Order: sequence, then C-alpha cells, then structure tokens
Amino acid sequence: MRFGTSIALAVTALVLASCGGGGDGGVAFIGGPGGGDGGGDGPPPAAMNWVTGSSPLSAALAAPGSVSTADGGQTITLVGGDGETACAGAQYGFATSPCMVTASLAGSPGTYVFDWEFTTQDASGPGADIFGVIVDGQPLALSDPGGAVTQSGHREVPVPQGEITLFVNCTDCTDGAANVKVSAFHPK
Amino acid sequence: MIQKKGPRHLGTRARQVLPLIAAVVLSVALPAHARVTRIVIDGVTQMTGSTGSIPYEQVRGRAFGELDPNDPHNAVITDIQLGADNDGKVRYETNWVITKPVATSQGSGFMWHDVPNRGGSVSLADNEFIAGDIGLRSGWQADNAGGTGVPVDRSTGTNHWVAVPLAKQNGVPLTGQVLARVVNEGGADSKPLMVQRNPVPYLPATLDTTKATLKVHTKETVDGKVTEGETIPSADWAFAHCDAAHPFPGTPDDNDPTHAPGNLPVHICLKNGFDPKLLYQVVYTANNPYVLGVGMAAFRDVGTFFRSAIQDDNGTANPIASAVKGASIRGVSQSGNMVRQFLYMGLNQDESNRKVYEGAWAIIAGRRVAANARWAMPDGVLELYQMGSEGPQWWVPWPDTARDLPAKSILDRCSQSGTCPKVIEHFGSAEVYALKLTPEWVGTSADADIPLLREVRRYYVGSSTHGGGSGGFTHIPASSAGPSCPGNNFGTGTLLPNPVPHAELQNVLRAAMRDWVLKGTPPPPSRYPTITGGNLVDPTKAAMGFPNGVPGIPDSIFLPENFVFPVFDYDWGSNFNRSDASGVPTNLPPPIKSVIRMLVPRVDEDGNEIGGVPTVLTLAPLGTYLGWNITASGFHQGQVCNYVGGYVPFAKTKTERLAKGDPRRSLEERYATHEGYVAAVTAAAQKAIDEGYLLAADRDKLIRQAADSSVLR
Repeated sequence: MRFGTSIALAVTALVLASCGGGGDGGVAFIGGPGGGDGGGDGPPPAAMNWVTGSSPLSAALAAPGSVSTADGGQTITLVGGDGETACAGAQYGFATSPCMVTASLAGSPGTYVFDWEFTTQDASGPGADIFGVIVDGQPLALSDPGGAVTQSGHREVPVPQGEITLFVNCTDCTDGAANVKVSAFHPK
Repeated sequence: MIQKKGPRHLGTRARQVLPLIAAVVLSVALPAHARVTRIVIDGVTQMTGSTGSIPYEQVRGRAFGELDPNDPHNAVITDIQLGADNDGKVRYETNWVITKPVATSQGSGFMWHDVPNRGGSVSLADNEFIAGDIGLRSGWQADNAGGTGVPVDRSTGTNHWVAVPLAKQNGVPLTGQVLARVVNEGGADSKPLMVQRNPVPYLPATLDTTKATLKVHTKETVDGKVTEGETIPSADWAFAHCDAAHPFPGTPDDNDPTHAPGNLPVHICLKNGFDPKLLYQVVYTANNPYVLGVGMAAFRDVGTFFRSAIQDDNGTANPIASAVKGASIRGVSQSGNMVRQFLYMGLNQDESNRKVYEGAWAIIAGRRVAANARWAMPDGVLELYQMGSEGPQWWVPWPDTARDLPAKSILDRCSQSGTCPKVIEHFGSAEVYALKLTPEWVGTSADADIPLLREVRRYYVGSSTHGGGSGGFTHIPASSAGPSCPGNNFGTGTLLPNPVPHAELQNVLRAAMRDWVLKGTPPPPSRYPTITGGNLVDPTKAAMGFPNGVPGIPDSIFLPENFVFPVFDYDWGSNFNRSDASGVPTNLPPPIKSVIRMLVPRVDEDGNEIGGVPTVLTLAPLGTYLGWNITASGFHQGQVCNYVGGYVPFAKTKTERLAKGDPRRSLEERYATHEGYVAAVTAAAQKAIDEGYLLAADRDKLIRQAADSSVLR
C-alpha cells in the first residue's frame, strides 16, 4: 500500500512545506482555512480547520486546480490541475511529481473516517491522477491506478500524530483533471 | 552580393518540382539504408472468402539482408561479430507474407507486422479485413528446429523461418553446454529432447555420453525445489534412437550439423527404459550456436523495408510501397514476449534511425523471449531452468531490488533514440499463475504498483485462461474432460476448460490501436488489478479470499509448492548479462539464487477475480472461472496445470448445491429464470460497452447468445 521510500520522502517534503504555510519553496494557498456552514440536522460538529493549498508548479498550470471545504470541514472537494503542457519535472503516474493540490488538517490524534468519490477526465484514466492521504508524513494512495475512471470508497485512517493531508496529484497534469469529493469526514 | 537560396525564393514551378525531386532522391536513397538489400517474390495469390468488400491478395517471398556488426544499432546482438562473412557483413534470409488489398488505395493504410509463434501461421482478423488493413509476417525465431526449421530449398508458403549465421571463432564452430529434459515418458523407446513443442535446437558435439550428464529428478515443486535421484551411468544411456525392435544401445543419433534441422530432435535411449514417474535431465556439450539476435534484427529490417522502401537494391518493387501510413508490431504469447524483447533491444530504431513501428501490441505476454543469448531456446516458457524473466519487464525505470539490478525499463533504448511506440498489452489470469507475470506490474520487490506511461495501455481479463476461452453461455459442457496443459508433455487438467473469452476485448483493441496510431485517438483507460486497489495480494487462499468448499478444488493446490510458477533469479554464470539476458550462460543447470515474490488477484465470494476489464461472463457468471487448473496425473500431479485455466460450474438449484456442500449460490438463487439470466447478461454487456471495453456489435451478439442458451431452461 505504500509508495516507495523515495516517493515517500518527496511527498513528505512537500507536505512539510504545505504545513509551513507557503513562502519560498512552499505551497501557494488557494483558499483559507475551511469553514463551511456546518449545517445539517442536529448540532453541528466542531468545525475542522483545513489548510488548503497547491504546489507552486500546480499553481502555474493553465488550470491549477482547487480545493474547497464545506459542512464545517466534513466535505472537502479537490480538483487536480490540468494544462496544455505537462507539469514541469513531472512523470506520468508517479506520486513524486510536483504538481498537487492539498488539504491539510492538524487535528487531534485518533482515527478519522470518511467517504470518497474520485473521477478523472483524463483519457488515460486513473493512472494519470492520484488521490490519497498523507498521514504523519506517510503517503497512502487511495485511488486505484488500474481501476475505473470513477471510483469511491470508505476509509478509516489512524492518525497517530493528528496530521492528515488529502491530496490530488495530477502527475503530468495533461489531458483532463481529476475531481475528488471527500465527505462525512470526522473523527471516529 | 550573396544570393539567397531556399524554396521561399524560388518560383512557383520550382516549388512544385522540388518536393518531387526530394521524393525521388529519398526513394533512391532508401534501399541503401534499409538493410534488406533484396527481395524475391515467390507467389501472389488472390484471396477468396475474406471478410468484407475489399478484394485481397497474398504476396509471399523472401528477403535477403545484411547487417554491419560494427553499427551501434546492432551492438546489442550477442555474438554478432562471430557471425560475419569474410567481407565483414552478417547476412540473413527470411520468408515473408503480405496480406493486402489488391488496390492498396482501398485500404486503411495501417499495417500489422505479426510475429509468428514458433514458426506458425498468423492471419488478419475479420474486422481487419473489413477495415482494409495490411498484414505482414516474417521470420524472426532463428533456432531452426521443428516449426522454425529452414527449408532446404528455402521455399515459402509453409512455416515462417529465418536463416542466420552460426557463431564461429576463426572459422571453428563454438561449443557449449545445453540442458534438456524428458518428463512423463515411459517405456523402452527412445525419447526426443523437446522444448515446449519444438525440438531442442542444438545437436550434441559428441555422442560420447561420458561427456554428458543424465540425472533423474524424483520430484520438483513449482517453486523450484528439486529432489534429485540417481545419475544414470554413462554406459546405461545413449544419444540414440531405440525401440523394441532396436533395443539399447539403438541406432546412434545423426549429429552431423549439415543435416540439421532434419536430424532433430536429438533422442535419448536408456538401457532400462524410461519411468514415467521420473523426470530426466540431460546436460550435454553442443556445437553450432546460432546468432539468434540476427533473427530479431531481420524482423526489424523487413518491417522497415516494407513500410518505407520503394524498391530493393535490384529494383524489385516493394508490393506495398507508399501504402503504409502507420504500423504496429504484434505478437501473441511467446511472440508477445518477442515484441517486448524487440523493444528492450532497441530494435524499433532501424539502421537509418527511423521509428519502425508507431504501435506495439504484446498479447498475453509479460516477459521477454530468450532470443539473444548464446544457446538460448526461444521456445522455452516457464519450466524449470528456462529463460525469459531476466532483467526489466516493466515500462518505466524501476529498481530490481530482489535481484540487485539497477533501475531499468523495457523502453530505455527506444527512449534514448526517441523511437518508442505506443504500447498496448493485454493479459489473462493464466499469465499471472503460470507465466510469471506480476513482476511486470509490481517489480521484484512486489511492494508497489509500477506506474505506466501515458503511451502504454494495460488491460487484464480476470478469471481467464491463456488467450481466452471459447466464450458462449454453456453452463455444463457436453464433455467432462479437462483441457490439455500446454508445454512439454505436461498432462491434462482435472477441471473443465475455462470459457471466458478475450475475443471481444481484442476487437476493441484492434480498432483502438489503429485509431491511436493513425488518428491519435486515445484507447480506453488501462484496467488491471493493483496493490493500491487492494486487488493484488499474496498467493494464499486466505489472502485471495478464495471460498472454502468449491467442488473439485482441494486446499493443497494453494500451497506454494503447487500453485504459482514464480520468477527465479538464476545464476547463469559470469558471462551472462542479467539485465540484457544476453551473453553466454555457462552454469547448467543454473543455481536458483532467490525466488521472486509473486502476487495474484483477489477473488470474490465465488472465487472469481476482482479487478480488470469488465467482461460479461464474469459479471454474469455461470460458475467459478479460474486462471489455473490442476494437473490430473503424472510427474506434476496436483500442481497447477501449466498455463491453462479452469471452470467449476455453479449448481443449478439450491437443493443441488446443498447436497454437494457447495457454498456458492446456485443459478436459480442468482438469476431465478432464464429471462433473469439474459437480463444479467444485458446489464453486464451494457456496463462493458459504457466503459469502452466492448463493441456494440459484440454486445448484441452476446445478448443473442445468452437468449439462445439453455441456461435455466
């Protein structure tokens, strides 16, 4: 289930930059902390403050991608980048590619639960765009590169240190973007 | 004043003429570059009964070519320097067959260069005739034995062959060690030395058995554990033909190399006869190795000649000159492994640095054929001590950690020259279990999915046999006989043949490759099981989630010694290049340094695989479809039945299944009625077509077949 070591290191570095809030070599924020209306039946859960961002190279794409949150942070929508020309330094299908959008949460340690729906417009299918989570610096791909263009799942993720990042990596970032909706995100 | 030159400054007439001049110059120059120097047309036959409205004809002949052994394009070929004539050139002759529209202007402009399998025939498919495609096939397998034997008169119209030089040192034939095996044979008659279905192509240098070793194996497991028996004394066996009328020592084999291939196969005669419970393994000194890689280069040269040249050096016209706008190399099974080896060797770049094929389609093949090492046997597949899994099997540079080899890929050489084709590969389940496939997907460490390239598509038909089954919707076949296990006298399976077809997917892919090459239209997305998706797991019953109690399937089949043929990291000796699979193997039998971890697809509650391309029979199943079978008897009894699939039908009713203790729901419980089954097939077909893996015509055919079937009638 894990990326190779080098991939893990690369993504970890990116996440650390993301958590650092931008600046040189960091990610450019494309949205503020998640808020949302917290609506729905019953008392709203405590809002989760997602920090959303994208890597600088993704931000430079013609369609740089986006991240938005709703429902008090329980719903997160990530749209991967896309462009006429490939993301610089990217390699198709590799999570080490530097173009990604992220939503990061520094919450309480524990197990988080969520549903996810993934679809990609890329003609090459889900091998071109990777959706996953990074937990305490360790990436875990959730979308199946050999699966259907539309996928979904339910996930329970232990987060011992309380830091979790959702990401969409558009790898070479051409031929169509991926769209991911994470819903019902909450601590177990 | 300097006069400006160039088309921009020329008159209209000159601008019209210049391209013509350039074309003429190009056409004159091409024969000098294409290393096929001469073609001979042996016959032209009008084709009758071919599908479609376009009249077709078949042209057959021979091509004569030469290689410069000092050209870097050919440096990858083992022993090429040892195959040169006195003038320094390496020469070959090969047959070829072209299937073409009589008027090529009526065609699609697309050429398939099909790789013959073990010298056998290949034909265009019906919808390729309808589209107006051109078919080309030619020899490549240069081992000159059985189906690849070079006719004495070099005739064409039978098998596919290529004549290449023998490797000689200062005019003296080389010698070396060769390994061959006899299994499941009994009685006093001598036995032939075969590899798969063709003879071992190398004659013994001497008939003196003191110079050879014949050992008995009492048991072999699929994961490489050998129990050795006695070494048969040299006085008790002979390289000879014998039978009851001509008992041991029989008639000595004819090992005169000038009589090859007519004096193949080599025979072994035992003083005490053969015991069918034993496996016999002989290692002997052979002579006259072929420069096998020249056959691969010949295939390249024939391909580039027919798609690009106007005529040969003598002025004989290329019968499809200027008719080819795009081309794909294509091979099935062992020939698919040839396609992969061809790309690995960088042969998609011709000697003029052109890309030979824009497309490459490796079908049910996840390895690289052994066709570029001295003493290699390109017929070899999966049996112990056969080559084919050496070096990278994947499409992007990836470390080969288990074998301690650097990060490489099949496409390294063509990437450097900018000549990589668009690649399609498709597989079935049998390749996973027996044909050592999954390192192609997850490497030798088997801990991550190796990414593909944008220009590589992979399709997997789960729960299917090698090449796909016969299709249809027959719940209980008329015959209860198990299928033959392919390979060298391997036996038969205990389970019924697996009917899950590949034909419908192949129909999609034929059009997809043509459109990808000619129009740039992307094929459907790849579909295959992955670690990430949770559908690629260790080959244990528990990890797979295989149900208990499926009739005819004992737990013992899932044991490592019986279930999955793994890749072995062989030590072929220091003169062998472990990445290139080139050079000279000197350790025979090669010690097994390590057994590579293999994975298999996860299955559902019925035992059918999860993941891969949606297919109608697996979405509307009539039973459990397996990529494996169980060997019924003989030396391999109880082990996976080489690379043939199996089928275990569901019970028809709940009462029937309960009586059998079958945990799988019956047909009635699933579909209730015949109409319910047809509805399930209709839904499955629609899903497949919606996702791009089925053509409308095939959807209609499948629904009609289901409606006409006897399922639940």
